[in-house]
Amino acid sequence: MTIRDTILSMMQDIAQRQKKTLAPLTDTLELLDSGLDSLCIALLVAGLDDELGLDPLSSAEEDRFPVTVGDFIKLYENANA
Amino acid sequence: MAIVLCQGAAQDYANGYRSLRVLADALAREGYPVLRFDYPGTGDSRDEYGEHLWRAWRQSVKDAGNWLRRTVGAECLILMGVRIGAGLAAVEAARRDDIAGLVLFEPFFHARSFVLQLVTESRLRKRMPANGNTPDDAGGLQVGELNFSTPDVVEMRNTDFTRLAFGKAMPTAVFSRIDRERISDRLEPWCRQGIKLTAYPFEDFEALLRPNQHSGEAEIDPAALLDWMNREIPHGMGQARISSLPRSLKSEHWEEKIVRFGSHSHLVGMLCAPKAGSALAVIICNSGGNPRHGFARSGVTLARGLADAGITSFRFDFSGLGDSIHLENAIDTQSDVFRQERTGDLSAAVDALKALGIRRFAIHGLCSGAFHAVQAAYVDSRIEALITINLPWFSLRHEAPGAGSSAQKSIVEFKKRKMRALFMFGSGDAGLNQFERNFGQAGHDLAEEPGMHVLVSEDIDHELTEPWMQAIAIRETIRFLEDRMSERADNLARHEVLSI
Repeated sequence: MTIRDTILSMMQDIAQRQKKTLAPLTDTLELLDSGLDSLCIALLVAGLDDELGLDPLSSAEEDRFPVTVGDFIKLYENANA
Repeated sequence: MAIVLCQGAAQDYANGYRSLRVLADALAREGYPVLRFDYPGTGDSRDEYGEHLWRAWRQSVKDAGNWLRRTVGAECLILMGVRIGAGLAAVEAARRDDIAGLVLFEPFFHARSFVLQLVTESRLRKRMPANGNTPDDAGGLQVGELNFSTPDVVEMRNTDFTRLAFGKAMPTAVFSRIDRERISDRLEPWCRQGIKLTAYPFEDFEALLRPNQHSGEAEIDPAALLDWMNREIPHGMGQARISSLPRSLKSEHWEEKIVRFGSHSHLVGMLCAPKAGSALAVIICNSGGNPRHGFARSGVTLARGLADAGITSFRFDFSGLGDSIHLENAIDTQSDVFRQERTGDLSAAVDALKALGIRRFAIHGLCSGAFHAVQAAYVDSRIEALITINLPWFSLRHEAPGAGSSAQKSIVEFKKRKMRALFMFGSGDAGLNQFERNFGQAGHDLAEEPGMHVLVSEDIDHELTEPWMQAIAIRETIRFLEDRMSERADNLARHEVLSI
């Protein structure tokens, strides 16, 4: 499974478990408009670290936290490269 | 044999609290003494833990195991944990020689991931609107009620649970959403040490991590866990020998005592009284599906803040939330956060406090707790003061504003009884919009009504997620209550002061 597929799958899984209505996921969709709240996104980040050992956000500066779904995926794809 | 249950932390704690109690009850019915406990600085536990919270948590798991063995006369323990509690259970299991089994529910494989979860949530909240001033969090990590030191964070970032060295091998069950192959792969270092690992899907325990405001969903099903325990862990539990249990938790300024009450002793609460006693008690309602401690432990902080100001409080769990039981068709069931009638529970709370010698009653609620507080204050004339924070509405039915509305009727009743009420809102809260439909901009129409107070703050959000927001709410609550108490001071006889 690609990083993109893993992330999108996890977002859907988390949304389902946390009883959130997920917006159609596109690269230009802002994370905070996706339907996922701060806890959901935190669960996603923790899950990606725990399962894949990827933690690119620790080196991301405050003003470079990914804004869109596409930014988020790209950050992790680059970290996995 | 006895069982120690290590809870999750932060939202995992709040979401899983009731279901962990259900699991503990199920294990107790099988004959196991079970200890659930709150880590230092969480839940009902005290806040004096030194400088390093993570280290205090690790120590508390050790202390819990030792205390349980001593108290029930157990020769060995089964350690169980949820999320970061699973990691803590594993760390303790690795260093002890009296562990008969280890059970992990949706564990973190690395404590770093737990830190990442907290950091991410904190960063995102600070980017969201209406979050007020942010503290200086250089060094450690402060999220909600959790305050980890820099050495804590460093240690957690370097704690890989898959690399634990076990002094003694033990059967281990893992209940996880991750597939079995992946679990076996990640925990292969454990298996090389002789750990007999069995992986199960998490679906029977989904309730442990489900958002706690959702009712009507499947409860946990411990069948697979019990089957594993019967198969893998030798029997011969013997008879638990329970020596006397501690009755209260004491601090310099207050004392807390668990109270079971209600028609079937099905309700559980924590009385928090100042050492000098108090004429009045504040009943603190659950907010949302959170247990009595409140979101980000706001209920506990409020209770102890009130005690520091010389005011008794009683935080308790509505039936079907937290530790309190609600039976539907004889099944222990979570109750609906809004639709479940709560006036009976709240009247029972007043009855319980009266039986303890308290004679004056106030009621406090946040969000759904505020809604239920208003309902109870309307019907129970013993309640003389009401404090609500971010009251979402006065009625579950859609109502037009006006003389016949629940909002207007409530105020008429409160005025008739010469009650005092404080309605506190965050300036961005949706409940304020509803309130203003009835009472004008920032509740202006109530400004001239005796005993009615409206406070709107730009610095609090809906759930009082940050310590400074809770401090604002506590300060205003104390100020309001002290004004009320001084109004009635001349009418109080000294023997009404309560001591426990």
